Amino acid sequence: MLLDKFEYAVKTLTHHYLRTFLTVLGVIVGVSAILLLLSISLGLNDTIERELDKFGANNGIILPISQSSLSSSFGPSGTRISSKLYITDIQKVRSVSGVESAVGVISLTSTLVQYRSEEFRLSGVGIDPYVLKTYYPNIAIKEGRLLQNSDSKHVVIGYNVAKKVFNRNIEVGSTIKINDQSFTVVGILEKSGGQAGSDNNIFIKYDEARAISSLDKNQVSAIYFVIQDSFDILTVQSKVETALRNAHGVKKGEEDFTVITAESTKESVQNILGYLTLFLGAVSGISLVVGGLGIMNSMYMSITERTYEIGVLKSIGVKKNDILQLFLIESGLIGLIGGIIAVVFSIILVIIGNVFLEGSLKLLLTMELAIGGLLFSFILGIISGYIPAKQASDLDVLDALGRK
Amino acid sequence: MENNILRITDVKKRYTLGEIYVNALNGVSLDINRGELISIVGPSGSGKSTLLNVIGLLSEPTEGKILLKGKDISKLSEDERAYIRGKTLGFVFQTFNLIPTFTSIENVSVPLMFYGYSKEKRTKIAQDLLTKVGLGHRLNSKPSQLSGGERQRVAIARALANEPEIILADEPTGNLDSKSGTAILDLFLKLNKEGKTIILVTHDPKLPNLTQRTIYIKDGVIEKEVKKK
Repeated sequence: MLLDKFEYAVKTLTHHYLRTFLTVLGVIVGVSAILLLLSISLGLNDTIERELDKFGANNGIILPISQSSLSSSFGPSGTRISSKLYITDIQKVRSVSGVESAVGVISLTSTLVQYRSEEFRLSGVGIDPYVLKTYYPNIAIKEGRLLQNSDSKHVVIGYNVAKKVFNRNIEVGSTIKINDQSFTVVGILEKSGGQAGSDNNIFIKYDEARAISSLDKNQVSAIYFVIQDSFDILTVQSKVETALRNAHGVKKGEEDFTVITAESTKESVQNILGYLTLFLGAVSGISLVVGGLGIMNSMYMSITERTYEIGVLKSIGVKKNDILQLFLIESGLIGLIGGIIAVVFSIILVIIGNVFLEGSLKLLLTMELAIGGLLFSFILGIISGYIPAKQASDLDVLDALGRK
Repeated sequence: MENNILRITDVKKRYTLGEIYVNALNGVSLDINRGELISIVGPSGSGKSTLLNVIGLLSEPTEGKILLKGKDISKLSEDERAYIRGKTLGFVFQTFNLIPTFTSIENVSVPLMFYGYSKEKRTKIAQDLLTKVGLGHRLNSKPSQLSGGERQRVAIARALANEPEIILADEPTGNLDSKSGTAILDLFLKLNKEGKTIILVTHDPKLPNLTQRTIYIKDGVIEKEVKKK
């Protein structure tokens, strides 16, 4: 009998196809909005995780800037309070239990790089060649080779530096000038993609970077460290922070340095994303409420139009519960049809979106999300249709037939 | 088997219209036997349709008792009343009361759908009934494509779908031309001959001549009863 009721509901919905279409449209907009916003949120989460994984799960970085200035680094330039990291700090970090290794690096920010007649300001890193692969685990060589300890005035450049920044491609063997000093390109890296990759970087030896950097001899731009596998990353991070606080003579909360690990970054990013998802969910929830009200409105209109039909059904012996079911199936179907179209529509938009985003952000519409969207739409239909359906089933037969 | 199918004892029906009480039935008592064809006549507002509504369980009596096959049906739950309407009673209304979006066959099938008949079975029953009322050629027509007489035939076929023992018809010829009206009355006579108990409420002056008994009702009470000789 349930199948018959479905058939009955489908017949009614197709008969009033324009009203059905407009109501379904409301559901499509609401559910698609939620699905797409959640896809963006999931995609962001996934992209950030992938980017952080490139950084190396066990790797950490210590920067000579305070947490507060790091958080305000999105503000106007100049708000960043400059602090210092010393060579002696490297030893302090190495001595923390759970730290496998630690090295200092020299950052070459906004460094003048010349190739033939062109010049650009690029970022570079001065690092000991033997630890390059440890701290940049995802870099892969495309042409040439990585730096070696025996190298002198040699440089490895990122994919974009070689192929995109300058008008003419830089080849292995080419000479470029970094801060007016000539370096021979010995390697070009594979394209890493994403924002945290090495595509726009140049890599030279630590000593040579120090020579062209304005940094004091007892200072480093950053300390890279690796945490042993068997240790808890956040615990070791906390110990590193304590060791440096002691070394710098600062209290907790007043640190002039920031320790970053993939784990801690992931945690804070996920926190932010959680709020973002909640906010986006609430915004798209409003459109869903509108969709639900659309169903309710449509069902009320349907009852008003079909009062007579309800009276006929009752007069020929159809029970209250059957009438309730008929109307609930109708509203549930509106929700379900809207949900199916919304899921298909969202999948198409996600596919198109991913083509345009070229991997910089991968929108994710998971199977769970799609099924959730469908179920949610169906339930939305049932809930929105319940009050009108109840009202229809409660109608007095003589009132409905206009016989009073 | 007891011959009496319906016993109405001192039934009263009072409506409330705002602060005004309207006594539509003022103590009606009536016995109806199996296989009878009865007409209830009276002027507008006499209470004849109210009586039919009460007998047909579309409305509860304010007072009094109605026994259907010996069982008191005057105080039943809504679902119990719906069940009796669906299984024992068949309604024919003046305005046909067909579902406009459904074809003849679908309209006749609707009562069967809610009483557990398979689609094949109810289609077969509906086809047979529509053929019986002379609409075998209009199975797939919607009400808007049918004449008044044809619509009333569909309504009669629907009333017969669940094989009811009693057919209640409220002004069944009221919206029809005389030719169609006569054809519908002939159909009722035919059904009565097949053993159906039929109660007709009417203004039609021809009807009392055709029925075995005529109940004249006025101001909510039975004024007189005339049996056909």
